[in-house]
Amino acid sequence: MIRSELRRLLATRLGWAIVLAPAAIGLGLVGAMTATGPENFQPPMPGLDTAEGVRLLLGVLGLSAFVPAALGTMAVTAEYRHRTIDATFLHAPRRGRVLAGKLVVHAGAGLVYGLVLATTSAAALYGVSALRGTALGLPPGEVLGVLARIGAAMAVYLVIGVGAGALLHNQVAALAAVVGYLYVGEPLLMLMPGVGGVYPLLPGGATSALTGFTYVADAMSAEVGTASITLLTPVLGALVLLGYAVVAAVAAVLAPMRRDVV
Amino acid sequence: MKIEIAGLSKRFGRVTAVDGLSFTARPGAVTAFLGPNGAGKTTTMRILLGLVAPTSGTATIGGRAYRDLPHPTRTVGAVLDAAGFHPAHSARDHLRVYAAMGGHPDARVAELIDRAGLTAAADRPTRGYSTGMRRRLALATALLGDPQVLVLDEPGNGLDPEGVVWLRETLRDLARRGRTVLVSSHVLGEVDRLADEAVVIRDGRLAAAGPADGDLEAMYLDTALGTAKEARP
Repeated sequence: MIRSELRRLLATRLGWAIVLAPAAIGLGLVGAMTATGPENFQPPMPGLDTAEGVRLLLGVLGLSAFVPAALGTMAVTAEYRHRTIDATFLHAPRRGRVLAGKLVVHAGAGLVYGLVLATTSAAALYGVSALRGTALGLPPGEVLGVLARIGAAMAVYLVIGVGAGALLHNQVAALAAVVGYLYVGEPLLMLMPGVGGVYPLLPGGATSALTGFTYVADAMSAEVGTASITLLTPVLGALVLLGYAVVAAVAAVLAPMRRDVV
Repeated sequence: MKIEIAGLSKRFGRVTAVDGLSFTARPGAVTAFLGPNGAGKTTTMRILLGLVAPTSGTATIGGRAYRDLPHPTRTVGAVLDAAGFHPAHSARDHLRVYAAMGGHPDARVAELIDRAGLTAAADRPTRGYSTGMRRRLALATALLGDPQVLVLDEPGNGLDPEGVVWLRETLRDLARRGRTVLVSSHVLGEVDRLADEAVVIRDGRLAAAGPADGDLEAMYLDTALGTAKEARP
């Protein structure tokens, strides 16, 4: 089952996207931000010669979580869109096994994605800052730690995407739901009074806790004028995020069980 | 291995697609599964293949439900009307995915590409395939496990005359080698020279069943007049 899903993934452009998308984000986004320098952002942020500046810059990567989530969603919904799901369930009438195979393969793909993102981001950060002659305000060990956690978060988002795709089937609807939630839904939720308290438990909040990225939470609390939102500790954030992945995985395995495929 | 449909019913909401249907398809014969569009042929086949759950009744292959077959694709090969391929996958990619899933050796992939006459196009993406090529690839996928039973839903749809002959020869040959072949169609001419047995359904109910040695058209049209013949054993 795993070999089959691996073959399926590697024979499509989605297989390339697992490597190329994070490389583009790592080299392009981090490269551009490092070249500009956070001190020149609007509004200005602490520069890269401060620990906070480096953390903020890397934390922005957490906002690209919708990319792996979308890739995971597309991987599953492609089966319904192109009507290969019939052949798939004919070859494996115990449908949970199909989804389990997909989860394993895409968790692996998620780790590759995260690794590429972390590596290219590190290369861009150190390469461009060396060119600019800026000494980073955060020691390499900590930089790599933050990047490793971002990479792990990306793997989790890819799995969450697989779960969402298995639940919704329709590619456009599933993509709209996943990307829409991460990009629009969650920020909107935070503007609602009272929801701010829940934010640390939402996927975005948990990701920020894991990566130590407080910019969004701080900006939101400043905007709404509430007390500053306190994020979970990185470990708790990681656990909450993993919890979402487990829920998505269980949903993915159970969802197609009894449904008629017409 | 015999296909056995017994007292099968399926309701989708308020629509009854299959209504107390019973018939069998025996090994060594091609059984044509006939009926007008919307008669319930596709639903019956999807239930037989475990893709749709019946409301009541059973559909078994060699006495077992599809889901309970130990090696489903070594037992049953299926071509469904709606079946598709990932547009970026080539025929070889597609067959390799399902060879791995069904536990069939990769050597079967090249063999079936050859047998389906797809050798020249085997490494091109399926998005550029003609209807005939898609039909051939769908049948090749069904044959990966060298199954004892074949279930084909409208396999002749959109085939050119050459393709129709190729399909007929392939299915006749399988029946000759003792396989059970159930093939649905709403085009009588397509199955006329192919079928040994015929089952006709209308509105989800059995309208006629028996050997297809006589006048298939008369047998089919009789059922439209509401003068359904008794099902012969």
